[in-house]
Amino acid sequence: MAENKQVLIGENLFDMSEGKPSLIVTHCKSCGTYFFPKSFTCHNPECVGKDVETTNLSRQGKVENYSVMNYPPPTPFVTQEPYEPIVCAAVEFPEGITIIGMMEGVTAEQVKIGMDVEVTVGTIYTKKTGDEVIAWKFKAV
Amino acid sequence: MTTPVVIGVGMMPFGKHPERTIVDMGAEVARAALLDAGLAPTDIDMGFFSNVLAGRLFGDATIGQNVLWEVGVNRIPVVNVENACTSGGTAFMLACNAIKAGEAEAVMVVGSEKTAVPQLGLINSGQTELDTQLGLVAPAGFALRACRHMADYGTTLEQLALVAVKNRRHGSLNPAAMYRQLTSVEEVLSSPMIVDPLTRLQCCPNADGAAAVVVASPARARRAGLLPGDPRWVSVRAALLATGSYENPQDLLRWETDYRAAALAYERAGLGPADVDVVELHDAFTIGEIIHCEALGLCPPGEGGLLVQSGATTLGGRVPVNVSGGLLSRGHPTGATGVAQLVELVQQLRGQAGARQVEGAKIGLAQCMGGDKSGDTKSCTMVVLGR
Repeated sequence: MAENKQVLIGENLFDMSEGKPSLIVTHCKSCGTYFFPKSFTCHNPECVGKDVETTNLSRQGKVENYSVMNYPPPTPFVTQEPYEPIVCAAVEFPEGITIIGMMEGVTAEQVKIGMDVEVTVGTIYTKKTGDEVIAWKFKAV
Repeated sequence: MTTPVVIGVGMMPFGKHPERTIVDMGAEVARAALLDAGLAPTDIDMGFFSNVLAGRLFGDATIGQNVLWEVGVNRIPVVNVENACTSGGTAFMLACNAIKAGEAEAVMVVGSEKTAVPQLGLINSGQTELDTQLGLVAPAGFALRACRHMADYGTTLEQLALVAVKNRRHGSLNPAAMYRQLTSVEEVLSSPMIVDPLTRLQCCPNADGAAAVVVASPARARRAGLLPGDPRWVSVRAALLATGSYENPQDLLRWETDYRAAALAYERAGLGPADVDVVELHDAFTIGEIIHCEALGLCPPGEGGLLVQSGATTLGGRVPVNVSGGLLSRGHPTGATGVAQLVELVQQLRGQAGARQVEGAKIGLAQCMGGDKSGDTKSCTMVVLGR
């Protein structure tokens, strides 16, 4: 039987080289702005700098906002029956960048503004072919 | 600088129209707008057509030429516009710019859309957008802000629901609205939860529909028999488009683009929030109306919930908002919405709005916001009309 593949939702989104996942960001050395996903240039219109570096973001941040999606997301997303509501959150990292993603291991009642979370990587849905789609997630620490 | 004048409007009831096509709905309102303006097809010298989803849902393209050909408008430049929920406002801005540049004397703007179709489901921000890949739906960006607005400002679930209740009461007075039955706070809050804390009745319905306006130079408006000072002389005090900055960390209590666009609209129109008599804004979700009212300066930041609760934005209040019923009750055929907002304002300023007339309305403002990128908005349009 063929192994089900794991498919990333995009290239160069996270780095696993140190065992635990970090989100890959672009840092502008001229103005200090961070960008996610990574980029080849600085998007700050007031910055004339072209000197950007790729770096790993801190692994932990705080929940700034959250919501619970009680309705299955549209295609390309595939959901199982019965649908389990997805908790999503906007997480602010110490570098001063906010990134939205799904929470894992928490219910709507448990998620709170200000909660400390870490970046994880996991399956966000399974395609009809059986392939698992992989993205970053957030988990309470 | 030439100040364009809106001289004709055309509208049809929004709703579920499975038997209608984008082209025949667009043609119906374009014909009505020509008749209202007292112009012949050959008087139109440029056309802008607004539609968002026909390419994705039906595989159609360049529909504007088909719509205008149906009403005998051809040969002239026709541009198809897609800018998410702001497509109609964007098309109108382009039409006004063509008049200001002296490139055209009378321009037709049509928006037509079918979204009450089974293949749509929950709308997303584009198939290849990372937000969509991640499963984030369009309401999520609003729900995240609602969560923060409640936590920081004490906005209540009841205040959110009151937006839907108010706009339904307004919709009950509008023959072109999709939903005309009254609703209550209890009914809104007990409807199924879509994206916490937004329940189904706090999310605008998918709809089919079309709307059109004809905008002209002042000289052309005079030749059409209008004079400045007539109730039908509705001038365009501002029509602009702003784009998101996608700055990070984002301000998840508001949209910076919304505030920036509003400030520019007031500056260009030479007036302030206190001068506005009637507002049509993008209430795709109840929290949207609350935050947009703050951005438009109708109340201080954080007090949008109190504003709706006070009754100030209800018909008969200090500054009625979404007297058409808004997207929540009129329905939201994406590409038609921005144009329908302008039809409503024109009818209000002419004193032709019937049971939902805002007495003595002289200045109307329309706001729309569209598209998502990393939780920020992609575009925001503002139009100020006055007589």
